[in-house]
Amino acid sequence: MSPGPPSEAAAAVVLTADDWGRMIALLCARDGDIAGAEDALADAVESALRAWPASGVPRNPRGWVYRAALNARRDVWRSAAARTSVPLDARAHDAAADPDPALAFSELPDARLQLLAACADPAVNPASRPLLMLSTVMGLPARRIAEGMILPAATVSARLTRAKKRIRASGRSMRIPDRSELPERLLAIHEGIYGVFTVEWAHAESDLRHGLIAEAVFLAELVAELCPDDGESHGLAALIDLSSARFAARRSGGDLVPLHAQDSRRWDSARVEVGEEHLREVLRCGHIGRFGLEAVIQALHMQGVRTGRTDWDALLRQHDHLLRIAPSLGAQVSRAAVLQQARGPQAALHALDELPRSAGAYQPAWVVRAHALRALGHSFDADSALERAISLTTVASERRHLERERRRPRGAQPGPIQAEP
Amino acid sequence: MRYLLAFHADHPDSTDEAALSAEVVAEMQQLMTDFANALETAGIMVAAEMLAPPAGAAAVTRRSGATVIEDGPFAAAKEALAGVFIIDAADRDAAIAWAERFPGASYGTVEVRAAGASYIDGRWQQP
Repeated sequence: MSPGPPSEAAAAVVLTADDWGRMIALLCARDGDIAGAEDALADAVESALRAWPASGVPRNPRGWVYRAALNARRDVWRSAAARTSVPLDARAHDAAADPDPALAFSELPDARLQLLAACADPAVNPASRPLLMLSTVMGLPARRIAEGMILPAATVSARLTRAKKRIRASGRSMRIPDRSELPERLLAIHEGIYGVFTVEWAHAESDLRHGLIAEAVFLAELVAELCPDDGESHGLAALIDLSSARFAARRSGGDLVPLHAQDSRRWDSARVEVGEEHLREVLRCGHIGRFGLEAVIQALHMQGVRTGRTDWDALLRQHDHLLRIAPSLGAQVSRAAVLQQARGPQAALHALDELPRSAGAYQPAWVVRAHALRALGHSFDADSALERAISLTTVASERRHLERERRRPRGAQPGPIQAEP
Repeated sequence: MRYLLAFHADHPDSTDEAALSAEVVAEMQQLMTDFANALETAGIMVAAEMLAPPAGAAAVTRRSGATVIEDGPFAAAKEALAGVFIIDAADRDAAIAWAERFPGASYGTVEVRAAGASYIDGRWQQP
């Protein structure tokens, strides 16, 4: 150990999102006290920053920080035991969480699946789960989460505090969900991660959502890595990879570019490749869920754009499959759009007519209806459908896009549309 | 037609108000600016007012014959009226779509009410 300049110490102690989540998962495994674990870890980082400039950066800096945080937690547990004389649940205390100081941190077990499962605990409000994953699994500050999710920072902090209290009180969270409950919990984990990815409301003008895409990719890749034989975990990763690969191509000078008008050369080809690799893993696992099917649908659309020939029949089959396992208004409308290409506009209109009443307030349904009506030559009805779609659109770039479409000369055929996530 | 978006929220008392950091206030102002700009861009903004704390409010009535002016604060429900937006939306569904985007909806409630009659260009008009 040799004394180094403070900047070196600071650099060494900055934990990656990987380190943060792994340490928190171990530090809260014993009592489910996520807030306590976070405080301990933040304090440990701070003392490292104070101590290392003088003492030099230790050989195993992450081990040092983890050890310091663990010791702080131990003090708390000891005094709690002394106060209550109620024996602590030793079962929950993983012996591996007590490392040999010489042991490299990377050799400790990865308990992040338990941590993800805790974030998706039934006791936690579903709307808070994405926030909780970003905060505890990745160590993202509440302020960044608030910016990315377009929420007031005070609201994010309040929701995080409430959620952590509930996890601690529920007491059942900090263990690997057993085989019977894992599938259900994984579903909640996937939905939470997808919630990080789909922030709908974007800042008024510059509504390119670069906010938390990288974080959603990180979490999706993580759960696929932790559950390598779960097809749907790969499906979610594929969906997020394939969708996020197109983000740069979705806007041109502030205007919205629908998928089928995009320049595929502007897609992030490395990310597309990772997504396709996950799709192959879905096949290997032999079962496909909602996210996997949505990824397949994305892949088919993208292949169509690249080659100039879209396989609409295959898309229709995948939509039928999707509606069987995960019926939703969005998927029904998306299917109607595919139907127009595969079976003609009349078939699309029929499908739209059969939607539930609630579709009357669903903007994409009116966009698809306008396209079908226009293809049939009913320009007047098409315009009023478009008018209604515009009235339901709150995002500026999307309104401009639809307004341009309304001004399109009569009889001009709009390209096929595809709802973006 | 015109719709009222009435925003109800817990009114922070004076101590809370002091505790709200400048950063939190600036951030909320930015979110509100974005929302108002989006209404303006869509061409449906009529008026937007965020209200001062109810402590300075007054209630006026002639119900009993004489004019009675009562000074606030009033012991009211937990949530108080905190802001009013008037928008000119196509219909109820469109008004609700905008109410969903109201930044304060993450901690308060937005009531959506259609105007029964609007005073526009010097006369009362039915929607």
